Amino acid sequence: MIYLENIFVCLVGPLIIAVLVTKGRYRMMFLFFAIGMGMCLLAAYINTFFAQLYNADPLSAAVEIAPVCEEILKLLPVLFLVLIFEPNIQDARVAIICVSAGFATFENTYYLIQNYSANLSHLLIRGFGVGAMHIVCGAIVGYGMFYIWRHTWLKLAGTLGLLCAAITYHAIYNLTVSVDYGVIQYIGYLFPILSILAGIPLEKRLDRINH
Amino acid sequence: MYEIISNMLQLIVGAGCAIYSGLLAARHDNQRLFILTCFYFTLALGSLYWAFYLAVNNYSPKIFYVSDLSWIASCLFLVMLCSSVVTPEERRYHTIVEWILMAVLAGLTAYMLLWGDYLATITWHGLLMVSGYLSTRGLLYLRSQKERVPAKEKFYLAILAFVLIEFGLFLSSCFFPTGDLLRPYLWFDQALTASLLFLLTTTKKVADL
Repeated sequence: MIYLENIFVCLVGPLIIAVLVTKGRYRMMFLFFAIGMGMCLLAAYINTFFAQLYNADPLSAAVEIAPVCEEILKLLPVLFLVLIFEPNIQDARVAIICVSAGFATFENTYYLIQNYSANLSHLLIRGFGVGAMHIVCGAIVGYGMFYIWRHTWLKLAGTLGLLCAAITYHAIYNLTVSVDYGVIQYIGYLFPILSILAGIPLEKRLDRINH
Repeated sequence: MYEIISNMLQLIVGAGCAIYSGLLAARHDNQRLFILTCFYFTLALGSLYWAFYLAVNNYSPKIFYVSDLSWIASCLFLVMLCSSVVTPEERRYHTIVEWILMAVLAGLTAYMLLWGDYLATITWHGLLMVSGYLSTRGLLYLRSQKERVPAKEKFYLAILAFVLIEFGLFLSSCFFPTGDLLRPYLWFDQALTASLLFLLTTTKKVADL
């Protein structure tokens, strides 16, 4: 049996200390990284609950339940930050990326504990793949949100629409990496990495627009 | 087989339109084009998931249709796109025609509840009905004016065409379940693909580039 909450406590401890001893944007980064890990832990519980409730097989749980729960949980802390503290766009973007990176890190930790850690090439691709996927999903909602939020009436509808897009993107990734054929699995891992590479020029452009 | 080809064609057209409108949106910093990009992006993403899911599994999803979520999001962006061009004068303009259309579409939606999931059907068709309402009202308002605005008329026409083809697609899937080339479902699917291109060209003209 894996005691996921114990692993969480062990991993999040240094981050909490870092939150206490740093200030400003660095404090926010450590805090949201830790929150991202916490959301991953929470997602594990909620995914398991729904998988039990619907009597889902592993593929259905990974493709039809996990993306919905995980993307909603990743969005919640960022929405809280944006709606309550009204940070500037740059800070909010850092928060989104940190939550996504924290989430991906904890997910990879869980994967490493469940599976063997001997195959470096596979882990290298998986590590970058999961990280890129969570960051792309965070960026779809986060970056799109700030672009759409320039008009009040677009806020709710736009955020919901972008969340749905992130969920589908996540589901496509989970579907490809769940397939047993090696090539499709590697395409699945490469898909978000290529998305990140394609998104970098777009991000620069959005930056210029927002400034 | 024909259905897969038709879906793949729609996926390619949707993805192509998303890339093109995304580049235009980034170049001109235009919010309408950005919403249009989101519309195409979610539509293509839903199609990609659906095509891939069927290719991998050979059966329909057991718990939850993720692709439906993406397609519903695309309808949400369509409503947003339609609302973004509405003027205050249009908002005040009302005729019986758009309400008749709404009543017909509501009846069809009620009928389709017999086949699909309640929540998804009501949300999806509800959003299509709102798009249909906004486009019909806008079209009738523009036709009633002395000074014509052909670009905007075509835009509303493209939205209305998309909505009606979507309803036709749903209805044909209810009545003609067997798969061959003469199946109306495939014709509607092709018409939907064509309407995506029509919407791109018309939105470009109303996006104030």
